[in-house]
Amino acid sequence: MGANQSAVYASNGSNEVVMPKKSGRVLSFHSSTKWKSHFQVSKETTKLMVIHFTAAWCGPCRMMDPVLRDFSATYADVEFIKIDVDELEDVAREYAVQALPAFILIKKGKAVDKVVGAEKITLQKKIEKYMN
Amino acid sequence: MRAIQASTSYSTPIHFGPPSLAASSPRYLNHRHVISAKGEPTEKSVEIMRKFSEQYARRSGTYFCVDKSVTSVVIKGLADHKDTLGAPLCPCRHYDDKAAEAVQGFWNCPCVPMRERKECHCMLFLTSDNDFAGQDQVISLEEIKETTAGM
Repeated sequence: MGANQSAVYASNGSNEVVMPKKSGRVLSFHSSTKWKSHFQVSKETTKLMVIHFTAAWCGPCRMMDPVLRDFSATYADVEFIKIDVDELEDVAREYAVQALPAFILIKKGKAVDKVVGAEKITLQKKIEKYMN
Repeated sequence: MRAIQASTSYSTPIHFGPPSLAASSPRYLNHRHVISAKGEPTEKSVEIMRKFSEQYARRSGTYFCVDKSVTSVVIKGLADHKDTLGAPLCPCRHYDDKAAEAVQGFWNCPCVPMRERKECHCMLFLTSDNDFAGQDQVISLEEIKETTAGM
């Protein structure tokens, strides 16, 4: 539980990054600066972004880790982000995150919806609603 | 019958600032100026919070999650806050000021929503009608260690 899946490199020795179909594409940010620059780029696209706000010792947050990895494999056109509220407090404050886990859905830089709690089905429905 | 609220068996005086915390937490000796959110809580605090959780589950008629790793992580989170803040502040929330929240007490476990309505969004104490509720009101230190190993 909680293990990070990362991209694997192609076996032909090239540096091409290969994302296995079932592997997750959940990006974790640990620096506000990196997050801000990523966000600036992302908001220029129409892609739906889902931010999973979590904390080190939040049980239900950890329970949602594999769910998010599965979603990221299923919804290839959606960007999945993971942020620890104790690491990036300014981001948590910006989105008024209180109870965890919290999921903020963002389109073109603007928060369009929010899911609070380990609500897998509710989150999935909202992803499908906003992804196109 | 004892009231659900009457559960402060883990309570300790709340200290402010690193010097007094250092005195009560061996871990703090190595982290005098940094409160780490990701360090391991002391075994003593884990045991205190484990016992409290069992006792409060029985008293409130609630059950642990069917996935005991959820229970274990939360117990460790409460223990971590007990070590660093002096009170078992709920680990499933974001706070602008953790120290102030721990003093205020609303989100110290068992939090007010739990005491009043048996609502624990951290999924430590689940009512029997919850889809995630298991059948246990006990959890051993070994289970906590096993289910959180490698985290």
